[in-house]
Amino acid sequence: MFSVVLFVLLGSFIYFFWGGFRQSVHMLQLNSYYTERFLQWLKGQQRKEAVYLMAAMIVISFSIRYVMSIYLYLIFNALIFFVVALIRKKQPDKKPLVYTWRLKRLMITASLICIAFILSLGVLFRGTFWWELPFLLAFLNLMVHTIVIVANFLNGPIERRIAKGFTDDAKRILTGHPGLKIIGVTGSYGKTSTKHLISQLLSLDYQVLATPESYNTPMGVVRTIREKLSATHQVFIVEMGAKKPGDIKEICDIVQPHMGIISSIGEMHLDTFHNLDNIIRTKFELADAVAKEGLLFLNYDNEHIRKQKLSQPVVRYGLGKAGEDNQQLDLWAENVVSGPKGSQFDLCFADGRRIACQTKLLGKLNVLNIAAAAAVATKLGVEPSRLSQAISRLEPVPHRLQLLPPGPRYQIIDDAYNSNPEGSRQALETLAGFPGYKVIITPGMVELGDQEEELNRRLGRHAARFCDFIIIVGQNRSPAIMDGARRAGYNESNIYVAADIHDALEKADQLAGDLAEGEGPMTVLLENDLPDNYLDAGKGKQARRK
Amino acid sequence: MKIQIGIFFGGKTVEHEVSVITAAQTAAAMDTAKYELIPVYITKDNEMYTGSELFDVAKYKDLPGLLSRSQRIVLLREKGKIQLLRYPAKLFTQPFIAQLDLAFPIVHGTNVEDGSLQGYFQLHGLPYIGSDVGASACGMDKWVTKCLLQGAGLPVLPGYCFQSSYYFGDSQRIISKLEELYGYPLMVKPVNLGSSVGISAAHDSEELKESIELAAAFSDRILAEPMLTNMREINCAVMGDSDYTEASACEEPLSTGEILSYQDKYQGGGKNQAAASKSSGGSKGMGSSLRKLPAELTAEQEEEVKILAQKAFLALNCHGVIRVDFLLDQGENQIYINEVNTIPGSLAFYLWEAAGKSFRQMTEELVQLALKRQRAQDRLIWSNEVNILSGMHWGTKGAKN
Repeated sequence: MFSVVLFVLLGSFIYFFWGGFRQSVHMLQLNSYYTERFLQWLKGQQRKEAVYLMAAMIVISFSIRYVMSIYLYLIFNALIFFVVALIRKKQPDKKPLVYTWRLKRLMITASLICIAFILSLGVLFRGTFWWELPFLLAFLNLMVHTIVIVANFLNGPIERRIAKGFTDDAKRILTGHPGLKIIGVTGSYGKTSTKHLISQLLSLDYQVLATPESYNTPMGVVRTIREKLSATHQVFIVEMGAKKPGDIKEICDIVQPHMGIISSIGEMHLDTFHNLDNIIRTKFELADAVAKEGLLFLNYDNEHIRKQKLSQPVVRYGLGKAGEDNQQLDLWAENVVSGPKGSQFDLCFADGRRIACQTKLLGKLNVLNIAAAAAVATKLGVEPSRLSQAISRLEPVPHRLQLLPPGPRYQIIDDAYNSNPEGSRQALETLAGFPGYKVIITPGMVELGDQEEELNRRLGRHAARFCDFIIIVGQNRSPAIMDGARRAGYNESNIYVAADIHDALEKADQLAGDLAEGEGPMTVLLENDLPDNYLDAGKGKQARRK
Repeated sequence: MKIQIGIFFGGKTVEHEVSVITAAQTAAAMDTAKYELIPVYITKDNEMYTGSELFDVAKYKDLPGLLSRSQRIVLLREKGKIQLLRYPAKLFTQPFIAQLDLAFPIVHGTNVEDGSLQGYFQLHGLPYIGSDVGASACGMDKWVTKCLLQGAGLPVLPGYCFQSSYYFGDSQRIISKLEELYGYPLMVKPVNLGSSVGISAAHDSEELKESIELAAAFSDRILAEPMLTNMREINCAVMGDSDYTEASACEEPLSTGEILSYQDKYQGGGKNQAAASKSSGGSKGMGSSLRKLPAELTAEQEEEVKILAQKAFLALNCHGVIRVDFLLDQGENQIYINEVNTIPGSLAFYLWEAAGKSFRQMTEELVQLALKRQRAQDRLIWSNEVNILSGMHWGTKGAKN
């Protein structure tokens, strides 16, 4: 009988505990298993529920423990766990938890810590263990993030060893593929788009593998090599992301690129880089890696890149100035005309050749990215005369200034994965080129350190200039954005702060419905939507999908 | 890391043996420093085998012995990769034999060349060399080929296609119809076979009956067309894809009878090879049959043949290497496209050698063409990321539920 009761208690506890535990490991996974970044997310979290529950249990249990049997007592506590678990708010995941082997190992270690914790306290409270068990469990729940952090720490050495095994394997695979051309792409922003566009243009003549989505960490690259690289591939494009000095070098040491592209340098991840010099130094680790025999492609529109003195062969690309001689560029786009249907421009080469191009990709930044791709393609022997047709067929990169097929009430420019100040401004300018009623949905920008507030204020100011309505997702950055808009003299009744992305889209629906004759069509810019760990936890509306 | 290529040959087809020869020739020509060649022999019973001896034509004399020394396999798609697995699986033994990057179908005739094998690859998501399912199916069906070419404005002989059951139901009606349409002599062909199998000429109603009954043994659908009496056959191969095509040298196959028979094509003369090609290494197959290479044509005729061959390639949406067979009506000086082989015997390598392209170079280009097509296809379905918007129903209140 007692074991049944115990079973019920533990069962309902595990059901209850699972919610917090899953969220915790999920967030750790989204933060690439970095404890520091996980702690940053944790800072914004409120654990009131767990504290209240702990307190409530102590009060209730002490008031009833002398008047009922241990059976009833435990069942009663089981009920509390169960009910709290049931009424707890759940949010849908935007990026699902992936049960990788690493995650499973982490969960096993964490579970072992939990069991050890309960057992050791069991020794401590020998006499009254069963009476104290519910508190211990509630305390365990309170400590869930700590447990996950400790488990992550304990697993560190073994994870590093496993990672090294995978890395060595990836290196071995690359050694066995001597003909493969390896191209590294880095930059504060624009690197994913540039990677996609290079991949599309090179596919004219080559079998290309690119790191998928935004796999841009050493392990992401290693995984791509081990799972995707086949003997038929002729070119491998590696997106290289960095959040701290040394990150790019680490990837370069694995893949040893023949060509490198630095697409931009700007104020990204300032919270981990601390200053711009660190960012510049890190990005130019790619320059060092291709120094010997390789070729470096540089976005010469970027002042930070232009300033660097390099003694190695480079190809400089950019948006040229019509009428002026663009002597310092090797390849550039001129006469750029951008509109809601894409852009037209002339692709110019240093030897005087010009190719008239058009693309359905939105925004001038994409023209710059196309220039980068064209520069790489020509260097790898793709005939320039074939570029025009290939450029007209380029497909937008998902979630990056991507014009979605129009919905019944409005169309969406999906720039959800963008998260840099320059890109946001360009996105707003692109939106400005659309006719009719213009709406922005944005949660603001993050990971910008001290400047975050100022940059979000600036975002508000730009949005005020170009948008008829502003929808801000979440509370965290809304004051700065609203402040910016207000200072620009924006009518505050045209701002709505949504609880989450679903609420925001619902508001957009409503706006579209209320649109007066002649105001339409409506275009919505989805700007800087962010993965789960930046959402205001716990403040979201009840999930709609159940 | 070598590119792993599965060479598929054989199959339940009347041209089974030819395919074995072509496959062996091709394997011998390919660059083994670059490619790992894995033979996949399809028996006449549609079972698949692999093994080191399967590229050796001489070993096929003792087929049961050969098969017993080979390994029966199945194809499996696992985590986006195509594997050859041992079948039946043995206890405590890894069933994995090889992984394929690319398939090279070297098969002739119905049940394989007609898109069947191509469909099998397509379903597995395995890139393959040569025409796709649709073009292969069209190329195998003489009637469909004729209609498509005619539709593209290319010169073909008129023809009449009928179900053999119609003929057996009311033979006189069909015979009268054909006599009325074209008169004699007539050519009668099963609609979906290559290599001249089942084809015969008819000069009167008695012969016509025999011809139809012969063709009916091979196919349910029969094609009859007027026969040119004063004509020469000319063949020309085409290689490329929809972006770029190239024509080979032209040949004139020499026949012992009115039409080039299966024997002429594949069992070779050997004695009177006056004008025969410099076939490589004494291998048999199309490479060693009787022919004039290059064919004796005027410059204009040759030019026209080459252009028509490329137009036919594009009209059928072919890919890789094909051979287009022409009839040259000497009386009228008119060229007709007779048929299209989407996987020609010996891959028509002798026509390319005569045009200055080695067999090895050819296979190199075929591999790149296949990979290029795969890229184009991958591009059409470029979507892989999780879309946060996928669960939304735009502007419908139903989304709230």
